[in-house]
Amino acid sequence: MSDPNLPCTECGQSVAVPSDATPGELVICDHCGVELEVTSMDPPAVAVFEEEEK
Amino acid sequence: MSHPALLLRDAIAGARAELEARYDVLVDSTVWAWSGGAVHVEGSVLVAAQADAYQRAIQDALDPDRPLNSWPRPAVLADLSTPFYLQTWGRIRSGTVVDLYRGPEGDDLQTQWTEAAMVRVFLRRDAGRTLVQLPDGTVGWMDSQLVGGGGTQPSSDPWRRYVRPHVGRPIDPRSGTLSGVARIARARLGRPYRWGGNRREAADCSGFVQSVLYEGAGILLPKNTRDQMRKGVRVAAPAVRSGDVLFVRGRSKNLMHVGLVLPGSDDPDLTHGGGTVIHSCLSRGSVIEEPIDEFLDIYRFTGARRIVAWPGLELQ
Repeated sequence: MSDPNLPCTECGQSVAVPSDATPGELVICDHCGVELEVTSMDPPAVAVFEEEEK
Repeated sequence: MSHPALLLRDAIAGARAELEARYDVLVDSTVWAWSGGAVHVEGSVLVAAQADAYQRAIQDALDPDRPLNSWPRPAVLADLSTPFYLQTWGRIRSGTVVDLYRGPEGDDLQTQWTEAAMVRVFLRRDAGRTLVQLPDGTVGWMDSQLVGGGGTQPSSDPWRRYVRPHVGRPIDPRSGTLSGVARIARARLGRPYRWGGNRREAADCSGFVQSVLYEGAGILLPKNTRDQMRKGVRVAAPAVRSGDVLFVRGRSKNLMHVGLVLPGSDDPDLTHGGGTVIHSCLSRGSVIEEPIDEFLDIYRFTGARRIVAWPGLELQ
């Protein structure tokens, strides 16, 4: 099964989300470098990850 | 319509003003020109964000339809691939403990360095702190009195001796074994957590992983957790096994944390997960080891990377 591709929510370019990804896992957009959180795998969805301040 | 040279001049001035407002200290020696119908740049900036800002400003001013990366880009001094001869170098002597801070003032420690090394010097000051880059790629401010070797330029790359992790695949260890890494890591159990630290005596989570893999495998990881997460190859949660680096975050707070997966006592051949995670834990205040299942009950799985290709542990 090929990995689903989603548009990066930051730059709009295509990002491959591994088919065995776990919700909560981070994937990195190869185009703009932003970290995207996998928010769902059914259907696949991502959102920009923002780390909280310490 | 304005001449391209004037548009370029205004674009550069605007970008530089924005950068000056964004950074307390700006390292920027760029000189821009319009010549022969094209943009030219000489000089360098410190970080990629500065080069990005210039490229965007030029694109907006001269030709928004032309791809961003087709515009000239200055050398980025903090990029590890930037040639050594473009850098200014300083020396850290053996026996020196360098504390590297985020700013020219304040006590926000971001990492440490404890062996003799050459450092890239970006902004030298006689007193106070000097802006440098350590061999692990961290840029920050250290005590100016500890930076020696002013004015001496090396004839070859002083950082050539460091083995850095790959991106997209694991790297063979320079030395050591996974069993040896486990011994080194476990010898630190109970040692205190220190924010920004990466020494044997005290470290934060990413500093602990960095220090253990440097000592045990000879691989120099970046210090920052999020930079570490970009190294090696991704491992899916069910495939995590001994030697992998495991990234998590709190369940109540989106704060990144990292630990090293070690073989459990029931996994003597080191071939499968289900072992333990050893990590320098902020909430417990020290280095602790706990079963991987319990670790992932406490934290949210955020990713796992196979950074070192340990012999005998082929990819499954």
